[in-house]
Amino acid sequence: MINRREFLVGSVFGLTVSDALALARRPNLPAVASAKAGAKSCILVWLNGGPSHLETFDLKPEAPSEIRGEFKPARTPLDGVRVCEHLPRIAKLLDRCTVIRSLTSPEGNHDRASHHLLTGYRPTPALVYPSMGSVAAKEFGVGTTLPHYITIPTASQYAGAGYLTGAFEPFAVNSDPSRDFKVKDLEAPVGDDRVERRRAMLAAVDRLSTAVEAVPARDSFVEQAFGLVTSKEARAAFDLMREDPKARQRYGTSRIGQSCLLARRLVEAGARFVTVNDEGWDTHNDISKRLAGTFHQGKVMYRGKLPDLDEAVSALLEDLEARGLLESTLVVVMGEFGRTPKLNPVGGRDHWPRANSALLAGGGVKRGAVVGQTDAHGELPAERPIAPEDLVATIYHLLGIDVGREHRTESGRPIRVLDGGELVREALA
Amino acid sequence: MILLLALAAASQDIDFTNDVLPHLTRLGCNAGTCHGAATGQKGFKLSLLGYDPEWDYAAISRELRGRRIDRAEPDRSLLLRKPTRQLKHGGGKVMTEDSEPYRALLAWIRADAPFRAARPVDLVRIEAVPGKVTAFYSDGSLRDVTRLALMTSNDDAVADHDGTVRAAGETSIMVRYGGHVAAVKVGKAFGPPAPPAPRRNRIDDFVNEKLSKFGLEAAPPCDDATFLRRSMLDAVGAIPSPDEVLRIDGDRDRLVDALLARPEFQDHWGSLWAQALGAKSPAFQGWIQSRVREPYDETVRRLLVRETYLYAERNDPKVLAETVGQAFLGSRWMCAQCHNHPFEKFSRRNYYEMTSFFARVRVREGRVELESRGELELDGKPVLPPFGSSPDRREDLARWLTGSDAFARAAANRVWATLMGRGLVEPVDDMRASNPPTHPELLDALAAEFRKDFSLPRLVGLVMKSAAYARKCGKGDAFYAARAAKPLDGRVLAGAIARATGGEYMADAALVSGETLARTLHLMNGRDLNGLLRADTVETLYVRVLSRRPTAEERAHFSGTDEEYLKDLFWALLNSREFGTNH
Repeated sequence: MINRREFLVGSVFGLTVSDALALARRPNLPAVASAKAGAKSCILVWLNGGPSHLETFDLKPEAPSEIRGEFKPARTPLDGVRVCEHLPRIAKLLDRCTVIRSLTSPEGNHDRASHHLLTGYRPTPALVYPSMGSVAAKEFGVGTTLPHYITIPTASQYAGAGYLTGAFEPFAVNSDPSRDFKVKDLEAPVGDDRVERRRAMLAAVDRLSTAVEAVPARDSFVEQAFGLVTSKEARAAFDLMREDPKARQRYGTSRIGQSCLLARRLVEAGARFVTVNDEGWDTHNDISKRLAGTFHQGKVMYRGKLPDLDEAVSALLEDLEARGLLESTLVVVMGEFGRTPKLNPVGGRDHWPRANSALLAGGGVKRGAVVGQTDAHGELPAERPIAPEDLVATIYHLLGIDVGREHRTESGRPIRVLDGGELVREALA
Repeated sequence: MILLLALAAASQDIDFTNDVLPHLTRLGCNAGTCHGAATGQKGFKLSLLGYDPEWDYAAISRELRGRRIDRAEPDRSLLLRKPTRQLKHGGGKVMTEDSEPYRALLAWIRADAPFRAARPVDLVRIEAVPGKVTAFYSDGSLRDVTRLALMTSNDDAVADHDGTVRAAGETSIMVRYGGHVAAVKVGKAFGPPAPPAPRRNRIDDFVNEKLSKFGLEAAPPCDDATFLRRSMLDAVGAIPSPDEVLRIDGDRDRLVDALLARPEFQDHWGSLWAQALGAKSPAFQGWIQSRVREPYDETVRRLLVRETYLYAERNDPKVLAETVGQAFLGSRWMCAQCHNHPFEKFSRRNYYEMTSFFARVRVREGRVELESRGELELDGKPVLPPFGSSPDRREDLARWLTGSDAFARAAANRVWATLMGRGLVEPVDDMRASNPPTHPELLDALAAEFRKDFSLPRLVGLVMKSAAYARKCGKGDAFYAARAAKPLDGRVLAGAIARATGGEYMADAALVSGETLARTLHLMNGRDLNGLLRADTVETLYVRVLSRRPTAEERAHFSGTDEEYLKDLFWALLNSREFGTNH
């Protein structure tokens, strides 16, 4: 059932009446998510800028050249399923993954689309919703030693806490894992006994002061900071030098590679939601070069995105599996939207939210499945359209987060973790 | 409405703009996500929310060889068969054949789909009161358009989009119909009328009236030490020195006057203003600081006409026009570059007219030059300034801008937001008819006061001398019933640490990042801060860091005397909640 209020929100903020009707036809989600959740943690590899579905997981070799682009499809262990030739290692692991090919959204602007896919809510001017990582931090606690929501190296737009406020903002490592990586200020400059005394003194200063009542975000940060400072294990999780050089090599020396490695270390140490924020997927021109060749920006030469992605994600999946962590770790690889089916005059593709792909693996995800498909030119889902809120509902389900739970905004308004959104059951093991 | 449509159909006097378009808008056909998108949808493009009826009429009646409407067999029209899903429609089924919009569209096509009625009337304005929206036409007639208007609540915690109040507080409902915008305020009290709050100047009359109306009791005034710290942070961006703390005499008005006279007032407000303007170069920032005490209207006039700073950083007429809108009028015009602003009466034409003032400005080798010709074009036609005939068009713009009501209101709102923690209009750069102020009369009064001499220090002083400014900090800060605590901004925090420790302390990236775990970690573990800790008496440490004497309880609690103990206390004070906020 949809009520009048939601209907009006929709009609005003650009949800078409047909969207609203489609929502109205949907059955309500079960109020309580399944008790036996598949995953303990989630690693989100966020391909910031919008990766082309036609150059990654949804190639259209039969389409005219201005649509199919330059890349050839490559075989996978799944019958009849092909992915891009520049993702050969991921291709081999597809029997561990679910590929969603019919993700579709109405938002074609980076910020709005990111908000939609990272929070499960269409953006509105009144409120910023919390990202999945912040919701997880709220659900599981912000972390007593290691922060539960960490972004590498920084948080993308709308990967933050929204109305849940500062305390649930991600901890950004603010340093590039592929070069001179060091997280600042993790170690106290005084010995353990003095750290404890300082902690007690600070608590007393705050308790005896009447100037300000609790400042929720700051108070939580103080607690987290002490947890981090006093736990050697937590600090060690950030130390990439402890990793076997061979393993470091296997992930690739790229930023995304070393970020994925760090993500694995953090999840292994107990972090619940780690986002690898990989920039550079907004390929408006020279898409083939930017994805699989080399290109210059100023004087710096860059390698295309796909080989690095292939190395990083395949290493992550293999490593998690070898350590017995894949069953408890949900891995999601996606960006805010797909790209225009037709190549533009400068050899690029522009924003295309109506068709997008996502790769899921690990904790509770079905092995070797492809969900949905797009039409002949990759324009629209031809079957099983999946909205951002559907995917977000599925991720929450796998993490055991009850989407019916209500959190309050600063003004006290109760809001469900997710409103609408239907489980993608085909993706569940 | 149904009756009116029936009558209209009977008289065959149907008008596309007045009788057809509102239904398309209400159904969402011309929303930004459907045919209103910049590129349309599947070859059918409508203007966003119907701002361009002529375009829409042409798209419907002429494009696709006229197949969208079928005058011979009206019910075979694509315009009817698609949205009812008799034919494939990407947008799904948006209406049924027995619905009001269907009947309206059918009646129009049966009447030969005219653009204008035989006796055309124009929508002049709309008026909204809770529960009812009325449209007024050029012939004096009016219609109830409640069911066709688009309504949005600015805060749906307080009221639903249809205006039904849900909780105590106040918000406005934005109403849109036929390109016109109106706002209705709705809300309800928190409790029975509260006892009157104290009054110190005219500002309090407005604030107190609202508090009393909404049944909110004002928090008591803060103590002198708190007032000293607060007013220093707000006026000069620094915490008091120990000397200043120990010399408090309780004369708050004199304190405010003295602060406003300090050179740091210019530095602090200059950098706040530079931030709002996005000024990058130190020279530009320095110039702004040098102008803080000069009349604001003259400063803006110079900035637009005489100085190069703005043009050196934004060499594009569109960006310049947008800056004028956002920084000086508190208006966001960007949307209107591509389509009429959906929430506001600011059209694409208006947008290009604003850019035309900068069409002939060129920056060469750090100097502004004016060309004798050159215009920006809209739909292939040059756009001329809407007023003025000066050789330097920027003169006309500056005169109009600085003389406008919106100019003074936008500045007054920013000053208020800086001092009181939030604007009378929020966000401060989104002032529009559909986003009214919480205290409209107060904003008018502040703006009128500001216009007398455009003196920034005088306006700042006026707010700081009100009782509303001087309340104790606490929960329940709705309508300024209490002071809202705000975290110190990174730059101010670094300065406060330097003053408290008496050492050199530079703002680090982690500090500037806002209130984050990274900032907390840096304050706790940063070698820079830890290197500045020196032992001192408990009394002195409290005065230096928290700008007040310790209470008896605090003195009793912190009884240690050795050096490390006192250094750790110093550390604890610098990391405290009280130090990290302006309260």
